[in-house]
Amino acid sequence: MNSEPHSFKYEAMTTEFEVIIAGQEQEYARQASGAVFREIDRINDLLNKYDARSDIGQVNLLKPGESVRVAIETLECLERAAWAYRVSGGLFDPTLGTGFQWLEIDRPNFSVGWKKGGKGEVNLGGIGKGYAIDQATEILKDWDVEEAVINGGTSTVLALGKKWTLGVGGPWGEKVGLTEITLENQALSGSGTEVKGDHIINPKTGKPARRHLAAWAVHPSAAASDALSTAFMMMTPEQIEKLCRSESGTVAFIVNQEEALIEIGV
Amino acid sequence: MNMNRNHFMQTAAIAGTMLATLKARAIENAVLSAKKNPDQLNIAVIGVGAQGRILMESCLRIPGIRFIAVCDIWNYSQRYAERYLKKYGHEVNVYEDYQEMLANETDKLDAVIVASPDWVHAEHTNACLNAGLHVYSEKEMANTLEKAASMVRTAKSTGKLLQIGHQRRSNPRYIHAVETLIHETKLIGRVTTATAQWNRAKADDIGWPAKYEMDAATLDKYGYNSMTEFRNWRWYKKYGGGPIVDLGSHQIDLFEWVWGVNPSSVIASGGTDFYKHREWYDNVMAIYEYETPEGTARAFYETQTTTGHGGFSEAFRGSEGTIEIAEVPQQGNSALREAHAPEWDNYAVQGLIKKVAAPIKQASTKNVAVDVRVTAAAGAWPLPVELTKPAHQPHLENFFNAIRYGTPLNCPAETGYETAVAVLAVNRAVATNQKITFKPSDFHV
Repeated sequence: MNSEPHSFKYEAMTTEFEVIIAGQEQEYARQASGAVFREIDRINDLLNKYDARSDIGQVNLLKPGESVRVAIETLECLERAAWAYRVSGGLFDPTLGTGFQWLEIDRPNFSVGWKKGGKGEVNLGGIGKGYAIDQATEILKDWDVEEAVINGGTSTVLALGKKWTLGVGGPWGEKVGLTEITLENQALSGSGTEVKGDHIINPKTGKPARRHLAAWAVHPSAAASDALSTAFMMMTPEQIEKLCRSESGTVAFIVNQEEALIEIGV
Repeated sequence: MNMNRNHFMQTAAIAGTMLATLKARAIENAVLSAKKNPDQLNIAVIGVGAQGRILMESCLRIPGIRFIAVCDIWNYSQRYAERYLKKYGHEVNVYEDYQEMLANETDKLDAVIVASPDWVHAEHTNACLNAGLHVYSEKEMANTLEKAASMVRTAKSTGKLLQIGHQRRSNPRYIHAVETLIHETKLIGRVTTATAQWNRAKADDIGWPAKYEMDAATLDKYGYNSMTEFRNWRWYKKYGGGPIVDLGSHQIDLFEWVWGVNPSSVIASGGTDFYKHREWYDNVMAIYEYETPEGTARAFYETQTTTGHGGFSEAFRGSEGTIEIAEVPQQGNSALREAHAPEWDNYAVQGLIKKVAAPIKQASTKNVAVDVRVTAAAGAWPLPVELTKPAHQPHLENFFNAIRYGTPLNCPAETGYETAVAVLAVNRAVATNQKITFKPSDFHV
């Protein structure tokens, strides 16, 4: 067995994914990564709102009262998004404030649509990468790859099978002394004002989220951490604390406007 | 009889006969459906690898389609398909051997989807047709013409439906471009030339999870030399036809659809220049000639597997303009007018094309050194039709509608065979370094 981890990169979902695999020969690790990347492409083809043929593309073209059959994965991702909407008090919103209340997820009929009263537009940009990473863990199980890191373009990273010490990037992390974190079977997702500027929009106000300078969420699910890190940017420390208490396994790191690090649920 | 859509639409004399055939088939199908469940078609799939899964996922979106069995020689794929279908409430019986599946399931089945490697399409398809089942077979029909021809003959002798998986033929965007804009509206005038390509970035061999490695006896039983060859069958002559067949076939099929005639010749060049351990040509460039009623037309096709440059798309170029199209609309979805052609605004008013912001403004200049005529670039007029389903779904729907209502197939065996003749000849042209000429009779079984 080769103990050196092997790293492989792939462009998908308009970012660069990386798979790091330990405890496997390089060629086997490469092939397993290839299977992971194919799965990420498959999920992207379902969730990509810019493709009219995708499930989400179709949902967005529907009129109020209409629905369309979608893949199980699309249903699951929307259900997780709905969970994040609920626990964040609507501050994570897969419709970005355009009409989550009209969205209808119909699990028994494998369909998604809009209630008769109205419609919005689904955008899974804040959770899709995390969901794809969660799905990819099933592929790694098939390949008996136990120790691995799946990195979705540096914003969401999932560490599997052992304690992985990972760097936490970004100037705000450095400023407050949060430069590395150890994760095991957990995902870390970060949101901040530094990488893409004000790219998080508060769905309730339609304005950039500026409550904090940066926020990280740790959760066993990459989809959950992806969504929660976005919501944490807009939630008060009290709201986040309540969430971390009720949703076990959730940890938050916040850099507030005073440039101080707040750790919740650690 | 050729049931290609445009022949069907355009040839009134044939259409009469065709309608009678369709009527008979519709009655027969009604009888068949009554035996089973008229609201539900029971299907099985042979081969649930990458392509089989895509077709499976599309079928699950179509109302009234129920999977009752899956067959694959690889237990990893069996397990995947069984578990995936179970999530949708489809409890299926799983088989390794298609003969066992047909023995146990035929009386419950209406149709079978064949998505196994190319070299066994004919074996699987013929067995299903002979068992009295309709078949949707992935392209290429086969990696030899003999096997492809046997599928046409079996479809004919059994009277069962056989759809070949050239899914662009059922894509409303392509139907609009080819039949409405090129054939009916003559938007781009006489189509004198076409060009198409499918280029993919360098990619290493595909592997397999260690615990799902098939043993040598199982591989041997089904004709595979090794697990590597099984997983990468498209690159080996025994099982596949190489990139020109895997990728090119979809697009070369369109040339015949656009011009309504089969090619008269093809020249080609290619080789195993990059992946030395693979058997099939990793790059091919081909030029076809078509003797159309309006005169000779030529089409250039290339497939590269060492560069993704340009991706995949097709362009039909005519005396009045060009249509650029690709299965992914972002890669091609517009009509371009030649500067001398009559204005197209009226076509936009009719909804045949979409109008966009005016192209580069033609600047008037007193500088005689600048010839403003060359700067009057043609604007791109987007095609107005969108496909809002997974790419293969309309072609599967066409197949199921053919079973249920006698709708004509968009790519029956005869049409699939014509494409197979044109495409497989490219490999021969590369191997012999000679121009291949076709007789019209070459395209018919």
